[in-house]
Amino acid sequence: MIGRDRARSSVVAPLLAGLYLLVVIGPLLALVVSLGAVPLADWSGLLLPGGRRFLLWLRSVGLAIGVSLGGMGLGLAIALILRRRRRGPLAQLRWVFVLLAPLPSTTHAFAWSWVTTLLNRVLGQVGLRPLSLRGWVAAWWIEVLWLMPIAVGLASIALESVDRRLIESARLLQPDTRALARVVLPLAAPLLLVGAGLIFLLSLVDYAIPSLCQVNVSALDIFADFSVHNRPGRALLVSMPLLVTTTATVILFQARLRSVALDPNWHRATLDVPFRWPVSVRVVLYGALAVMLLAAGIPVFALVSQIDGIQELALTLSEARQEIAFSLIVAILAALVNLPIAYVAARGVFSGGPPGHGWWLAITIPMALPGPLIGIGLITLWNGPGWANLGIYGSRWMPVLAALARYAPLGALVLVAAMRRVNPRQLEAAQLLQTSRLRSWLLVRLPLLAPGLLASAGLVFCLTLSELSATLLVAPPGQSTLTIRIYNYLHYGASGTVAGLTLVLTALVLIFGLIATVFLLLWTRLTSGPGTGRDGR
Amino acid sequence: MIELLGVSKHYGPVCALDSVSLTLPRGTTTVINGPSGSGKTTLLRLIAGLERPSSGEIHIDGELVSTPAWVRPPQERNVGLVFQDAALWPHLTVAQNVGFGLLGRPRQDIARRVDKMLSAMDLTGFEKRYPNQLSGGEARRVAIARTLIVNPRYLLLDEPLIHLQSALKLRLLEGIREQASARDVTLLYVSHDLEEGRRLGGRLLEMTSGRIISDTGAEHPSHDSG
Repeated sequence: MIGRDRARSSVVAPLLAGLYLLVVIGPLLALVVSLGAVPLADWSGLLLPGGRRFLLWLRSVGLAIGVSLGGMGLGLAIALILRRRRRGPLAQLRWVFVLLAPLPSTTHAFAWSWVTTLLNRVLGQVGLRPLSLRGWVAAWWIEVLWLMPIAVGLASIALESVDRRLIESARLLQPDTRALARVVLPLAAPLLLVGAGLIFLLSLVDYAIPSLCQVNVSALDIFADFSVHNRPGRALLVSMPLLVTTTATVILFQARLRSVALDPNWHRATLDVPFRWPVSVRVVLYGALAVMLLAAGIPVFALVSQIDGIQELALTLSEARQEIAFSLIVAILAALVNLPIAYVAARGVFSGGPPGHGWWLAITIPMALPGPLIGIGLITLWNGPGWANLGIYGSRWMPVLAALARYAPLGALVLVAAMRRVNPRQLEAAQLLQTSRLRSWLLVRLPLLAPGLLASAGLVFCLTLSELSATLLVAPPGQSTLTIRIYNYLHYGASGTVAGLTLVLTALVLIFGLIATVFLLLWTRLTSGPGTGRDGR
Repeated sequence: MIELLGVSKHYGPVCALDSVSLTLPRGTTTVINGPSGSGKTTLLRLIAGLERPSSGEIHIDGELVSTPAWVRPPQERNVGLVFQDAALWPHLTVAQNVGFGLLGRPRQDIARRVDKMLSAMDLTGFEKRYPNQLSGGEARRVAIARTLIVNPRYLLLDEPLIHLQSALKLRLLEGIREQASARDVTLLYVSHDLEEGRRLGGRLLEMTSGRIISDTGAEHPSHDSG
């Protein structure tokens, strides 16, 4: 029995590992191979950004730094308010940011487009100059609001990583502001920096919001260059300054990121007596909270007020039913295929030594790739010699592959954290008592990993629904996703049609997010307690 | 004087402390003994202001400091607490750890008092070391020095000598007794080692399942009596 299990596992695991590498690393390798088609004389001109392209890179990095600072600043302030509260209305506010987190960037763009239209109507009546949702400031503001929930989550993890007793020792001796400045923040600083790095990365590789605000960024330039020249090698060279920046960021922060993912204790205990702040600090913290409520409230108002009645909504949905169905199929397939390949990649991290480091790099380095480059890499790979005959290029699988190439590494990262949280004694007990590896995997390991698998699938599902930058390049002819349709409409400003489509997209994301959250809460309640090796408190 | 009036603490359905009433007069030494999970640490954390009682009241020197609705912040209680595992801040040196409670005062004053405290705890020469460069016994001494330097009126010790060798434990117990006596500090010492408690002397409380089940030696409360 054991022999048959081992044989089955020894075939399946390498196959899945190969599939992960093909899907995630394959597009990048295809791009590297295509460099051979670029004449050497062109290399230096494309590699070293000069003139317009250099300024573009500088501005893109500037925008990403601004978004990172603004997002993490707000995130830290909100995390400090919500932190370790067990009761009261503020404890319930965490649900606002949990629901806000999966909102697609297009929802925020739509909402603020509606606010600008509304404000301009008022400004016009009093004879003042209208506002414009164009330019760097507008792009910065919308990106900050879009990424703020993630920043709140990352800042919370950073704060929770500080041992409760270290904070309490400081609170016994000094006021809370000094305990925060001298103990909590210095100890949380490495993880706060990792959070800032991730927000920087997400902002730098996104072009949806900048392009809607009519701002050109390096990620959009890659897309534009490929659209004009249709040469993948050239696109890779053009993207090199951006790629070097994102890869350097990943390398800089990955040691700390690995310790976060591998540390099982980051959300242990709550402070029974919350921090007390002086009035000046409270004003700043509650100001940040007001911004978060604004970020949640504006999309709701925008969606509700822009929908022109139920009949109009039904008509909009009927017209977009193909896109809705296609988006759902792509997101479900991506979430399902993600599970086995991300699982194998995550297991690889625990194999130790060079293979473990190799798998860690295979999970983290792809996060540095901008969406358009992944799209170009997918076209190069699946339309290239040897692979084109498979018929994948131009098929409905291309958006699924695009989503997997972008988000399977994130799904694997979630699973790495989930695997680390499983008590190894529980697995060892199963090994001792159960002779069939498959049965002990199915009866013990799989249920223990269920929350992690659900979180991984949920993350990939939600992100795939709102994926734009790679899908825009690989969507099969005559097919479009909901996000692409919304993005196209948004260039003409907010309208009832966009509101209807955005509502559907938001509802799909929120429904799945809500189901996953309820399941995770029930599971945590079931599996925490004195007998499980994990204290519920 | 510390007074607890019918204090209970619940964590969800678990009752950690069950309607405990207790008086700790000034200048006394009290040892709390009991098995793990008996509520000893919860009692200390409630007195220190790190936990909010589910019911009952806590008074320190006649002032109400904790109710289920309101808790006076820990740093305003003049209570020191030494944790089981020292809980030194890893990013600060020994001198910075010990001087933390004095921040806000003139630098020279802090340096002078830190030197004096380190000398009293036999830690001279350790000023620039970081916690990861200390042995278990040295770390515990630094934790005690950090707490004593602000001259707390009440010193709570939560099994501060656990996992130490017995010879070192005896030396440190003697040091704690001396320091408490010299500073007229009211001592509340938690341990599940009865012998350790007896060596410290004073009043002995036995706790089980969140309740005090015996109280002996209250008639000879001063730490000088041990």
